[in-house]
Amino acid sequence: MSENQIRAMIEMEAKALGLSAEDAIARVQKGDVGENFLWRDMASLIHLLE
Amino acid sequence: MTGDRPDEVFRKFRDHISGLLNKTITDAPLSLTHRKNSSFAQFAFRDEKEFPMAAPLFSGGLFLAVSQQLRVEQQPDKTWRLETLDYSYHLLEGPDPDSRWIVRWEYVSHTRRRDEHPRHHVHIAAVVDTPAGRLDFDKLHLSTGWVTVEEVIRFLIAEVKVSPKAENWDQELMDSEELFKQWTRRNP
Repeated sequence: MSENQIRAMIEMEAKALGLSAEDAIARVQKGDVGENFLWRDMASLIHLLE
Repeated sequence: MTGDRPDEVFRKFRDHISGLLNKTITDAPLSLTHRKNSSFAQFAFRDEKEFPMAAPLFSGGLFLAVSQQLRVEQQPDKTWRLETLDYSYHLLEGPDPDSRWIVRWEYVSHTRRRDEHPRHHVHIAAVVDTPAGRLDFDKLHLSTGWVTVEEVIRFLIAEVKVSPKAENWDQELMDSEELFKQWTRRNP
């Protein structure tokens, strides 16, 4: 899977949480995440880009 | 678990866990996400739009969200060895992330998070009043050992009474645990 495809998945999941991808990434990097599995999934996708 | 290429190792592990779930408690397949040429990957249940979901179990009206973050490291013999950096198994009342959850087994490796709660833990949707005060088990991180997907499946079938797909479900789980022991060189 390409980096762009993973970024598109992150954007879709961030949008479902009412956030921009940039805001979601910043919150994941601060460890400021929610408890549901959407947050955990998005965090793991963000780690794939590291 | 080891293999000659990262994508081969990730796929083999995902196929094994997905197959085990499909032989026992759900028909949903696990979807693997692996960035090309990267040593990291993850798998989870996803719907047709690639959105994460909890899979319906064969009975009982319950749903299970499963995810693992994986990494491979190249070994001196040039093979790639698999490591789980994070897992979560969430038992819920519906397929969506906002569905009410019942139990959440979780793990985050020390390579990801430090100086906080137990790495392996469980959250339970329960609050208990004690002489020492109120214990809010949905917020507390109750320590556990490494929780395998086999033990989660066993709990769901034997104790929550989810109907197993196969009569020999326990043998399937034991066979998988034996493989896990070989792959990790430890007892589950």
